[in-house]
Amino acid sequence: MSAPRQTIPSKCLSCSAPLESPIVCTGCHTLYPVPEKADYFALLRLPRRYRIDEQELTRAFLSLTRNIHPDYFGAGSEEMRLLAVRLSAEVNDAYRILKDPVLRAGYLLECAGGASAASDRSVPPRVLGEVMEIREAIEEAGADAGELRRIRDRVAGLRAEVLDEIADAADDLSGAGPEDKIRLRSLINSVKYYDNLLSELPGA
Amino acid sequence: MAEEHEIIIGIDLGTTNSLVAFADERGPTLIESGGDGGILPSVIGFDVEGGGVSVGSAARAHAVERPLTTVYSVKRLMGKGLADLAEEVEHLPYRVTRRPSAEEGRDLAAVDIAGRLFTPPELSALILGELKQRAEAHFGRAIHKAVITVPAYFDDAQRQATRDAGRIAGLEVVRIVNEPTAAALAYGLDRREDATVAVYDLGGGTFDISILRLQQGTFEVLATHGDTHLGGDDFDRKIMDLAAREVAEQFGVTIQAPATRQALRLFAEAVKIGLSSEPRKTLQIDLGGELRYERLLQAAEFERMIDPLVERTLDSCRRALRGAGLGPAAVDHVVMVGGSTRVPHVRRRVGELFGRPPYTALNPEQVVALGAAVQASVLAGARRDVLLLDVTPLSLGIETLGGAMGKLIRNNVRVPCQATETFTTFQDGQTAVRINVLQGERELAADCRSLGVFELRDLPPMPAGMPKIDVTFLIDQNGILNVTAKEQRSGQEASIQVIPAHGLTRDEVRRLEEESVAFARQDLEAHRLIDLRTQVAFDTNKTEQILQKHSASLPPEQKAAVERAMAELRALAAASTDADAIHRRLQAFGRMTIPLAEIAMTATLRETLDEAQ
Repeated sequence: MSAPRQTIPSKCLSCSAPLESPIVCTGCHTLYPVPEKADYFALLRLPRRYRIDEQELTRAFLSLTRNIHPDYFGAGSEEMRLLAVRLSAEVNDAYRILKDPVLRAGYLLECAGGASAASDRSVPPRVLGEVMEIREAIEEAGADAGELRRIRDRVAGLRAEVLDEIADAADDLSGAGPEDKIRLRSLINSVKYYDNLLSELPGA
Repeated sequence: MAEEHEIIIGIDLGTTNSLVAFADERGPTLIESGGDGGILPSVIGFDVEGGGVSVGSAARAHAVERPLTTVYSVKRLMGKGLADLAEEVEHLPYRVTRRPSAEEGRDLAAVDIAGRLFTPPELSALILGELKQRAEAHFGRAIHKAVITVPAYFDDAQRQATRDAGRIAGLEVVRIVNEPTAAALAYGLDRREDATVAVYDLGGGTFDISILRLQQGTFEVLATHGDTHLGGDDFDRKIMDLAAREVAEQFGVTIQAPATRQALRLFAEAVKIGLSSEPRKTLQIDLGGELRYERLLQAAEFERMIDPLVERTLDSCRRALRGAGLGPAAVDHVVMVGGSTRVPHVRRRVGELFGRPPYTALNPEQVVALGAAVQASVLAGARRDVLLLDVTPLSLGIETLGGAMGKLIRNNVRVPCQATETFTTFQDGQTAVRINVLQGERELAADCRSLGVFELRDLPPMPAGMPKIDVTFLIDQNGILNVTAKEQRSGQEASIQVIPAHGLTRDEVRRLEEESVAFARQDLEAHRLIDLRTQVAFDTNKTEQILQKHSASLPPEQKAAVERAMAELRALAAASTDADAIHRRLQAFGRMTIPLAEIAMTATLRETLDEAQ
């Protein structure tokens, strides 16, 4: 994924009002095609960083959707309707990715030129060690519910720790070097290992 | 100035009953013209000798005497192949077969009515056509657009089939809305509080559970699950199976005659409904001759019989909760929708799962149609304060080399959504690529449902692996898949030929639409003209009676004016075939005679009082 392009027309071509969003004039509901490889943060008009206010994200998503959802273009032209569907799909994707901490970190990393999960599957060696150790503990615990609950709490704790590390590393990637990006990739990859363990442990 | 909005109707096309509603600024109302309290039984009757087709109560009335040509529960056949319906077909008195097709891999079920094959969309179109006519009679003008609801768990083929049915009936289906979402819309409209709501929708043939977050006019579906082959019909079948088994044991005969089976089905349904309010009901079947089967069925026994079915719905509820990342306690309200939620055992078990009594104050039969009407008013541009955000119920993917399901879009992802995948060729000079598109949660392609084969055509001949075609899979707000393809180098759109596995091709729909539109135009005008002329005769006769009886209490010039208008209306109705003109004149006449009706009423009231004294 290459660095996102940010071309936002400054004025609505239809009503000349200043454009607040790159894809819709909130005054007259004229839609604009989303720039290729749109920046999800720019789309939702949020600062490009890991630590975001989730409520603000949801608010931004809903207010944008209220302007572009295809249901509000029922009386419009076929072309406008199709554009509304495509824009909504894009905005839904942006919201889905930015809302999920792990996907958000991955997105920030890829925007900064880091590797994708598909191209770099490495995990910090200490995490692999932990996971192996925990698997043994699960086996030993057998049907001991109390012990399984303790293991579960431990895994949840480790996962939260890794997410904290991710937050520190991903919040601002402007000065990050290649080593930093490789490390962030492996931290993000490790969350999946904890998630797999949690899905195998009983009780939520 | 108030804008004139186009009329878009909301339709609940149900397994057992279908309804049509309309919403204006005062809110949604059911359209009740045509009788039956606005509830049209989803039954189609073919009178093979007479050559007529009836829909609704009239068709159902002949179900026992014409079991082979009375079609019910057609919704269960939508978007299905004969192979999918092996179990279903056993229970149906009419004949289901496979529509012959030149393309391999296509399996489209059809109903055989005295040698003529009808696909499920064609049959559903007859029901939609009747609802359309009822709405047209109500508004006195032609209707061209509708919002139609479908079970949330309907796959792409079932949704496409529903849209095709609309088109064949002469309706552009401007939106397909999931039934539980429509119900939530009708439920949540008056309540402005934020809440998490579970909609448990058990209809005649389908089950859905949707978990929604309601806030400030936004109806956001968090997760959905269901079973498109589970409903009240299956409760009836439990009773039918019991009776059939015991008849065989007691009398050594099997119930085979289609008429007897049809009668048994109607009887089982009546017993089920009775057991919702009474502790026991008697099952009686005349088997002909001296043979008569009779037995008392206790509610508790019925509940034991249906419990495994109810348990299946609860399992779906648990999956939906998991999909939403919520526990049962996080749900503020459980809304019951669909006629089958009248069964007390269903209510009890659902209440136990969620730890709170379910909300049953809504009319479970009407709420979906009312919600569809509200959504229709949004699409007509009449309101912007409501926003439905729904999800795709099933994962979408493609068959990969080796027969695995490669997921591109996961279930419970908000729609519209899209995914792009790049394809290439494996042989030098290859000019076409076939993609098998799948829906489902299983790992193997063979265990998922094929939506059909999408063939990329007219690729420029190049060495193997050289062409790069980006194929975009877009699921729109209706939950329907749209596929587009672009060759990377040239940027040129590639052409895609779609062969639906269990549906009609575009050309087939177009042909059916043309045939039916040609018929429908004549039919509709004729039908409307007959209705209007009947109404004219009725209204003018009535007015004439009032004039005769109460001429003393009427100013002479007013009497003369009414008589003149009456004569003109009668002349127009007799001579003209312009239904719109007759309708306008009839309405004007109605307004003009309002004072007359008041005089007649006052006079009648006085007479009644005089008599009483």
